[in-house]
Amino acid sequence: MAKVALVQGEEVKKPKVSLGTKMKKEWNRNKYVYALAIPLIAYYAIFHYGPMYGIVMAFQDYSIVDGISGSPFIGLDNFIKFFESHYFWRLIRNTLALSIQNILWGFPAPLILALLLNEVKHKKFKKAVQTITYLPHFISLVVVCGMLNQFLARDGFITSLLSSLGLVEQTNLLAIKEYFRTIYVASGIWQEIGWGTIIYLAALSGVDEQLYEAAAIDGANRFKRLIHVTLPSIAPTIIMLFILRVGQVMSVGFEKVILLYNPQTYETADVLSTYIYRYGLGGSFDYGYTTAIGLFSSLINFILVILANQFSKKVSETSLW
Amino acid sequence: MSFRKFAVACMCVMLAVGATGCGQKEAGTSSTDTSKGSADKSITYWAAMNGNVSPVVQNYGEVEYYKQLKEKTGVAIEFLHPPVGQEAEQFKLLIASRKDLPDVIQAQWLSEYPGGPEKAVKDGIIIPLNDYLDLAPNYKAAMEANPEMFKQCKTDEGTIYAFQGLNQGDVKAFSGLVLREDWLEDLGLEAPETIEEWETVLRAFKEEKGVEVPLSIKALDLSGNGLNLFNAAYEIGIDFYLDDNGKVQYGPIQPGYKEYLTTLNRWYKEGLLDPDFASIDSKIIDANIINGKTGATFAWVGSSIGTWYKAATEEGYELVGVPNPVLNKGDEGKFLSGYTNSIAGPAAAITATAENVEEIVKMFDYLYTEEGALLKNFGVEGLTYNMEDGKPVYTDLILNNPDGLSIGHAMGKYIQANYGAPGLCEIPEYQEQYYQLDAQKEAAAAFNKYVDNAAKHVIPPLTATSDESKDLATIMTEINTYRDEMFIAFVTGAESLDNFDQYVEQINKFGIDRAIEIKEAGIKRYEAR
Amino acid sequence: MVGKGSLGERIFDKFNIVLLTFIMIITLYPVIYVLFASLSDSNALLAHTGLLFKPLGLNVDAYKAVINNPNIVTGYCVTLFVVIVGTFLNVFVTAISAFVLTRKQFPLNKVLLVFIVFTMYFGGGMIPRYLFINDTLGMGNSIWALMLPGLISTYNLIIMRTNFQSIPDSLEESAKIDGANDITIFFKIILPLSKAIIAVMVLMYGVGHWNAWFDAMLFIRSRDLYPLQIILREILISNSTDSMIASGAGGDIEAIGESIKYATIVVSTVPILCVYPFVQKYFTKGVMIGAVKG
Repeated sequence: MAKVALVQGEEVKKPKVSLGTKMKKEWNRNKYVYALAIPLIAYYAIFHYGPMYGIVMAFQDYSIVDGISGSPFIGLDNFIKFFESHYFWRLIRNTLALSIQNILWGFPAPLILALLLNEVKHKKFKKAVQTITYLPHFISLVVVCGMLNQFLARDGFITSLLSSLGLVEQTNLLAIKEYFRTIYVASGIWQEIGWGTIIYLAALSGVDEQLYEAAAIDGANRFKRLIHVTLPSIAPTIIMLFILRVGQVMSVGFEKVILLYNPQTYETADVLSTYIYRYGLGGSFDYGYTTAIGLFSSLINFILVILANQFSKKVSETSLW
Repeated sequence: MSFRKFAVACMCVMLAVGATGCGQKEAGTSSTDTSKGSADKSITYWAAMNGNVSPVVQNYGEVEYYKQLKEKTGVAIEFLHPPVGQEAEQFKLLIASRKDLPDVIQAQWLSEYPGGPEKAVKDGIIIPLNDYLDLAPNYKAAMEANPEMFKQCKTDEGTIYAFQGLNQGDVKAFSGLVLREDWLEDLGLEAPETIEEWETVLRAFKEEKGVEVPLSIKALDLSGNGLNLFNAAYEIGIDFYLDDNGKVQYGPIQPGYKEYLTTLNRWYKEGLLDPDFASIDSKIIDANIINGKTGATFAWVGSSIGTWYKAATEEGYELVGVPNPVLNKGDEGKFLSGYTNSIAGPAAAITATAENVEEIVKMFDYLYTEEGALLKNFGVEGLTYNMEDGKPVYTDLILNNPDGLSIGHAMGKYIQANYGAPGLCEIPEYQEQYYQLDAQKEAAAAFNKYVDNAAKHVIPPLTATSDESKDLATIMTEINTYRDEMFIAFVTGAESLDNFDQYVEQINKFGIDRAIEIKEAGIKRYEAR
Repeated sequence: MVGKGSLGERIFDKFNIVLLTFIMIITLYPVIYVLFASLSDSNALLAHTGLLFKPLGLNVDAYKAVINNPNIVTGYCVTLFVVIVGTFLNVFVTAISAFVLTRKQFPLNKVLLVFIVFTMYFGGGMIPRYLFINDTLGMGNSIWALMLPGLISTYNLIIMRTNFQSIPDSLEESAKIDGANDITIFFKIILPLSKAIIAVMVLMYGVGHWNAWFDAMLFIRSRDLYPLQIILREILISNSTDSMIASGAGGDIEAIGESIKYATIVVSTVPILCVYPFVQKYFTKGVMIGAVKG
């Protein structure tokens, strides 16, 4: 792969010619690609970069009526207000902790399930598992959290089960702040594990069967084939998904947290998005402030994604760009 | 290429299904379009849809009441509705955009518009109605009938900005504390009036009846949701309130709040208060009160009590609503669980871009006539009500709907009585009939026992300037979070009540003084109206 | 797979089956719960907490109520239209764009990638986005506002690009020698080899449209253009007295029967569940060999 790129790179540099001819040559070579790129460029330019001017709000005392052109600039005041907030560190800590635990357990789970599925020989069984595990993805969060509330209550069946095993006390598990993250992460896996396998299964279907055959001839057992054939073949997909996931560390959706937390578990459960949500309930319309918080999280996410990408580039040659 | 075949086949099937289904629908809508054209004047009307109506019709235009209104006034309304639960978001977008503003916007102008209704007028979103009041003699008369109401209909500067829902009834509180009456009778106990009696009753429930959790109430209903329940006994509001001298106070930092916490802490330790009160969800409370695992809780007169009676299977199941407790027998209560102001619910304002202002004003004015009020609250004679002894009485279409709709939903489909909207609301004849069960009627009476006292302590609907509302949001977001956490910590004993002073200090640090100052300023402006 | 089947491997197979069966059971339960709840008597359901092993007082009243809800039919039509037309547009444009980003000789692809990834993290926020699409582009209250603003999901685009990259260059090279241009390569070589990922994209975008509600909340004013999910949310959230999510509606509102909520979920979910088995068959192995040989 790399070789081809190199050859082409040299080709471009080789002769000293005028810009016009260069462009003409480039056009001739890539005119179809340029044509195909039009929808891509147009879409992002219009729908993403079009409204981008809104970032300015983070530096404004924004008023919804005056709009961006009419609202006064206040420099970094919105950011300072946020950094000085009593709950700033707790919000950051909780957001990061929840997110990192979620990645740590939630990211490998579907991959492992996909690999296990890949080892199943019985086709009908495999299909049944695939179909069934993906179903919970479609059940609304409101319902899932409603069920969790019941199952984790003092006499809920999960509580009873775990306490009979001596793992927890017979009490409402959602009231204990130490358990919040575990409950959040575990229920997330429970709901999304099957859905998450889909991408891996698609990637697995692209693995060249001949590689397996060759490995089998070399006497590799199934575990070795998994390590030396399967994983390397789908590694680009895994890495790519991981990089993208790292870039969401600061974004924890508010809905599920709100449905599961209560003032007793704020200490571990209150995250940035829920803080913004409660702030909005005060009816202040302070979009400048919330935009500033959003921008701050995006910056961190962006930096993390760049770091993850650089790292991956070094160790695995796979990268986002 | 099988994939392509499959995709094509799939699309054909789905399109066919879609086309037949949607085709019918389009035919349906186009017929309404033509009827619209035949009406004299057509206006667009943005309104949040009430949760009692959204399950039964597609838009307010299909509600019998609005159909009749069109007949009477000749104004055809095209309704625009935000999704239920997303009203505030869409309202903000509407203002931000200002493009194609509907002719009428019905919203909570006081709380939802940054800077309040006066600002909305100055911003050129809506028009002041003062100059049009001559065209609306009935509305004017209805407002002026009650000076407090008239005050609330105006902004601080005296602008009448919208057509309000004017409450005609005396019922101000629609929720409160309820207990199992049949158990009280078994135990030979009276309905509790004081904190002490409550404690006796709860203890009796636990010890003699063997009830698992005598009192089950969500922590948020005890502290965060602005409901006054047991705190009322200590003569403090749960949030901002007016003290006996008419000064604004913040309940959670009063000495009385410490006593309130002390009581709850004692009940918690003794197992009288639900040990899961911090995390319990209302589905479980519902189940517990229906199954007899709980003997006392917080309830809405309409929805909760009605639902529980329907679902309970136990023989002789009875609930009784009681007024908020007091400290000493014979004291008078000062707070209702909630206090509905004279104007409540969303108000309809005419936007600056509306063309047929006079027609719209006249249409709304009709709602404040006797005939209009009857139409709004009772609907069509012979269909939804009959006159008996000079009083309107709902027919079975409402009370025993043949399609199996509950009363609330049947009302939603035909009339506009059980939710806030412009016009004369909560008229006594409606209230008498909406509460079908005796237990509901009695509970409503009990919850409103001290209504006159409560009126003195409740803060009227205020407007805050843009800056004020931003400050208030910043301060109160942090205070509320802190208060809710500490409330549970104090009640469960995770935090010693000896630390109450530090807690108060922390709330002071968050800037409660500024918040009180903002409220005071609002009240001054309100008084000066 | 050409396993010989040593003892260890056989034990693994058994263990694997047991584990997967366990996973299957615990993920199936919520679905069954919803189904049983939808067939239960509303009052009995209200009084019940904990697991459900059979419907409480089997009846289908809830389904009758759901079918009589006038919003559901229109919601269905809107959603179907958006799912079919929207997904087709999504997959087509995403595939083309992913292809562009894999052209090694294309000088702009690195720049484009940064241009794209940047938007995953930075955006104008809800109000500017609304103002731009509603006012500037004039798409407010139109069904296109439910499809065009989300035409390409950057996440999906990157996944598709990653997948295209794993197609061996040799195939393309030989086609180029035969004089194929980029468009021919896309349609004749890349697309046929990417059935699995296209199937995944159809599923991702399709389900995305099926579950989408936020853009409808932003851009749609007329209730006959509301997609199904908005209606579902209204029924689920606006009547739940729990949590602060409900605080907007709040107060003394007649509860919708518990079983009706669940019946609504069933009615609004079953169609999209049926798509998966069709998609599944593109996850078969050996696609690549066939292509190389043929």
